[in-house]
Amino acid sequence: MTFIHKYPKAAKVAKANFIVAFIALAIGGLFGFVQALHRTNVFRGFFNSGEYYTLLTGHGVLLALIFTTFFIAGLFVWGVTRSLDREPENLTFTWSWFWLMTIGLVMATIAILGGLVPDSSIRAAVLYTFYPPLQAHPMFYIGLALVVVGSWMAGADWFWSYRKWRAENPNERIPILAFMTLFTMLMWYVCTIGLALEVVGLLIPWSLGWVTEIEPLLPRTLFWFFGHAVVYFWLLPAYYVWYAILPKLSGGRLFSDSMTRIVFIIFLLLSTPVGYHHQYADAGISVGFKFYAMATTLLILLPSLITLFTVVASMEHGARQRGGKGYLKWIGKLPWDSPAFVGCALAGIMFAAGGFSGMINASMNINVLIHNTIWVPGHFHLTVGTAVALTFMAITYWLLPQLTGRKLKYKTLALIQPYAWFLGMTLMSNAMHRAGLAGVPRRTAEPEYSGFDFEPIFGTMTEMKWQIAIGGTILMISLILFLWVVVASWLAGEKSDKPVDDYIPEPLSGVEHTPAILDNMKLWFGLALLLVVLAYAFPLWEMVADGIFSPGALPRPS
Amino acid sequence: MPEEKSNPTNNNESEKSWEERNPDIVREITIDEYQPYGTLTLTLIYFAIVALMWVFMYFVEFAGNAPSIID
Amino acid sequence: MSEEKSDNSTKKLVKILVIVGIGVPVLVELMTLFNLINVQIFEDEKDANSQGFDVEDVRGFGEGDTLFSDQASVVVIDELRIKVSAQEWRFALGLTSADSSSQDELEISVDSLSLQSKKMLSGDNNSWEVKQSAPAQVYGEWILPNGDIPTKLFISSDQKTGKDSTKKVSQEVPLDKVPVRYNQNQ
Repeated sequence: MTFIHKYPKAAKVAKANFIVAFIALAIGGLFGFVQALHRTNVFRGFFNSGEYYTLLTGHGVLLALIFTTFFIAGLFVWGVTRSLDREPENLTFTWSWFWLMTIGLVMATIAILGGLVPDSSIRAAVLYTFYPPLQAHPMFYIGLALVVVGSWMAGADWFWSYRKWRAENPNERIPILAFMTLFTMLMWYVCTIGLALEVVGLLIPWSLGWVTEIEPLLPRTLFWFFGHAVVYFWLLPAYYVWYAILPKLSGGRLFSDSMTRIVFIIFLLLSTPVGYHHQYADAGISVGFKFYAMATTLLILLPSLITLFTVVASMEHGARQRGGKGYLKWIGKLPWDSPAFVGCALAGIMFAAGGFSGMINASMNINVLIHNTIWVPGHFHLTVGTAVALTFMAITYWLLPQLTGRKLKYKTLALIQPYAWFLGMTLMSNAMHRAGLAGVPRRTAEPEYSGFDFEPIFGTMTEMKWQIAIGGTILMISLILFLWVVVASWLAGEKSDKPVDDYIPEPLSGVEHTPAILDNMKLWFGLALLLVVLAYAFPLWEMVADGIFSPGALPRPS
Repeated sequence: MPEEKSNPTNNNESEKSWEERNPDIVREITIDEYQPYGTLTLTLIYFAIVALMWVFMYFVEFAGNAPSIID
Repeated sequence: MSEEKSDNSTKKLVKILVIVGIGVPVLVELMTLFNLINVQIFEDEKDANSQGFDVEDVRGFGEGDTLFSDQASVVVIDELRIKVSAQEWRFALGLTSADSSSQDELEISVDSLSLQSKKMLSGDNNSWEVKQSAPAQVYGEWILPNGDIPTKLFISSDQKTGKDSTKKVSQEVPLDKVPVRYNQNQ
């Protein structure tokens, strides 16, 4: 018996979400590969440099918004169903959020891909951040709004299951998988307020021509109100995997239940009031608010450091149970031949490395060195592009058998895949960071200028260019391996009653040692809202005081 | 934890702990026996790198460059 | 995995994967770290000297500086900038004779300009206009290739050596950063 046999309805929902996620991954990944070859001038024959920005938008939106959101929805359906031991409460409702999100995704994708059709009036080359005055076809904004509304309904679905479960189990603690899901969604509700205000209140009326003017700063600020928390919306499901599943894959148990809950609470509190750290170079926001955001951002390092400790301690527990000894020798006893484990572990290592460049991005003074350079994509390909994406791919090797009732095929290819991703990403991201230090801009189809040469601190530009292109190619190969293994296993894997060991053991320090206040959702949600009001109320008021759409605001704080 | 409930194991195996059922596991380590020295070592290495980078940043930011905005 | 043979081949594969998939990345990162520290800390001074980054020591000429300071009649730079308009990128230079009593004529000519792009500008496209007679002032503009900045002037002036004799004295004038100003009137 595995998940599909116990909860066939939930399995179907989770699978549907995964299908959409993997299609988005395939298309978005291909765009990324084309970009890597185009901007390094290794090969520019696929598309012209104008179309590059359409591909860039497609890459960002399909991977960072669509692949993640749908995968997370599938993962959470699995987790909530399993940990609360109940199928979705009302399947009509469940399928309606899935289809709403899918319709939205299709609309946004058509708007983006319209840019590749000659003479098309439908286009959305507005990049992932869609800053005005870049304008997309209204279909793009409406589609994204539908995806967000769908995700709100998905969250409501899981809270619904939780309430029903709570009514039947009034004295039980929230199971850890459900806890992580619910807190992630609480954070999602807080941060998507900004996106909803931006898209529905400003961008849709503007793109439909109902209003003709728009202030650039207000939508940017609202975007980053959402935009940093969204990275935690991607990351927390990866943490969810690292906390709940990775210890077991390592052969051990989660080190501490209460640590896990504390980490998710801190993320709920601090994820949103940090958005200004993406706007350090924006005139019009006083440096005091930027400083507040910087302090909060550096505080967010804390839960990630707690995670470093808890997750590594859980893995070490597994290694020692498998016979590991010594200070570092135990690492060799971890199951380096299991694709799911290897992917998660390598993703974790990458995330630790991403922490280094993240600290530089977060610091207001040093940020200036790398602001808007290709360093920044270098950084987030370590975090969302590996810590999140590789974790999702790896855990698919473990989840897919549970959802389909089929064993994984091509285990050797599946094993090569995470190592290849790690290698390719190191090469690509390392060169992107170094090129960024030399001043190479991000989001540029042809980063070459006449009469000007970039001066790298060391090495040569040519060497970096090839490192990016080769890294991108290895990533593409790794992605093809992943998709191949998934499709083959899904369609032709050997059917089995127990296709994978899906048991999750209890934590070493269990829920009995966890303070009850950690489960008080109203308290933490209220505090999170309070912190957001403190960070955003005054500056947003300043921006809208002269009229919501008025572009006449001074480019400085008054 | 409900994970336990949602995974009804076979009766003959239900008395055994997960560790005992898993052939890869040599010995079961309880929380009282477990001393995560390896984690301590790795964490110290990580902090050492951060500290080294922090010192290095002094050279990058303050000692290395004359103030310049646009060349 | 049950067979020993497949177990062995898996072990071998894992070994290769770990060496290539983790070893190479670790090597790349270590080399980067080594190079960064090496360049930043140990090659810093060498670099600064060779590339002339040390602003204090090799500061070039700018507005307010004196030319021909070792000659009889000295000249002061009172304007030195690049004027940018929508169409043009011009270098403007205005000079004043510091000592107005002994000098009623200011004879001075810019022989050539050395540009950042290593190009030289010379010839007659430099016309001086006399702005004022006392103290003597001259002013001229040169059209530059767009975006290029002069780094050095070769300038000469007729200096009196005796009662009626003059001598042409040339000076090489390395320039400091030339301020760029957007000129709305042109």
